[in-house]
Amino acid sequence: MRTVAPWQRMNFARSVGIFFVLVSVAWIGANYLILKDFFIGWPVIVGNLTVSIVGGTWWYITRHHARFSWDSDGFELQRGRTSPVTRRWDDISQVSLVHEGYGRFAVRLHTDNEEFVEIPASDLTLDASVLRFEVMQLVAARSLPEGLVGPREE
Amino acid sequence: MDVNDYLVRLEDNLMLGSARWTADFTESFWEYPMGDVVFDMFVTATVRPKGFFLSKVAAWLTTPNYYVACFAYSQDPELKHLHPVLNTIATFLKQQEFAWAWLVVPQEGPFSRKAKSMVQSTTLREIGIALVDLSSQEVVNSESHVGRRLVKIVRCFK
Repeated sequence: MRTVAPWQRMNFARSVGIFFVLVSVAWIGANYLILKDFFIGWPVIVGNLTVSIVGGTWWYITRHHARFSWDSDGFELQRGRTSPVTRRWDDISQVSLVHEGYGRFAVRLHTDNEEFVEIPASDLTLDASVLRFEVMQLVAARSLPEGLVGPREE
Repeated sequence: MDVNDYLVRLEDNLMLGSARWTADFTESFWEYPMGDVVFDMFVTATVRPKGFFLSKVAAWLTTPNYYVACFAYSQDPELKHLHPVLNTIATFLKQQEFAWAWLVVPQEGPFSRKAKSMVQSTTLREIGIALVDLSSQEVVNSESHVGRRLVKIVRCFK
């Protein structure tokens, strides 16, 4: 089974950025409520950044870090520490390439009951178009009747 | 360049290239069955663009939110089954409430004179058609407004 789970810089930067904004707003709010003034200086910024990096890293690891494993039978996708989504290629009826904006792509796997699972190809530093064609071949190979082989296995 | 290479470039041009000025193409299917026809590629879009907060507000206030699509079909370069294909697309547009669609027919070689004249004489307003000869890089399009907008987008040979 192949597994990809690289450090996803965009998701990490987003997590740290959100924490930095929240910590800064909380600091300013607390200062205003207690001292009726804002205390801003390099020590405060460095302290906020440290807290943001620690908090952002925790948030990224528990919520956003994507891990994708697949073989010829199916795949498993996990986001952070949430429970993994596991499907067999037989369950997939359509495969599509989705542009999420700003040049980021995902491969969307549609099932017969109008649900879908999205593989965040750009987050996983995979070539989305190549992954899409590979998945299409895996799905086609699994949906062939027994005795027949897909084009890749010929 | 073969048809598959061309379709990958066309898909890229729709999602990331010049087609973004026309619509925001977001989802692309390959080998997509629709009725009796299996399209090589089918890409859906909305004309309301994405963006950050202010762009989203501006788009929401100024742009109608309707859906459009681009179909690619290379199985019938002689256009013997053009009418069933157009009927399939027209039915899809009506059922799914899409406003208009493009149909791109790529081929590695010249199209017959009959096929070219069929496309040029098409009077459909909501379906724009382009025949793309990949060897000579010649494009023949339908004369509707939707068809004329397609010309620049299908010229993605490099």
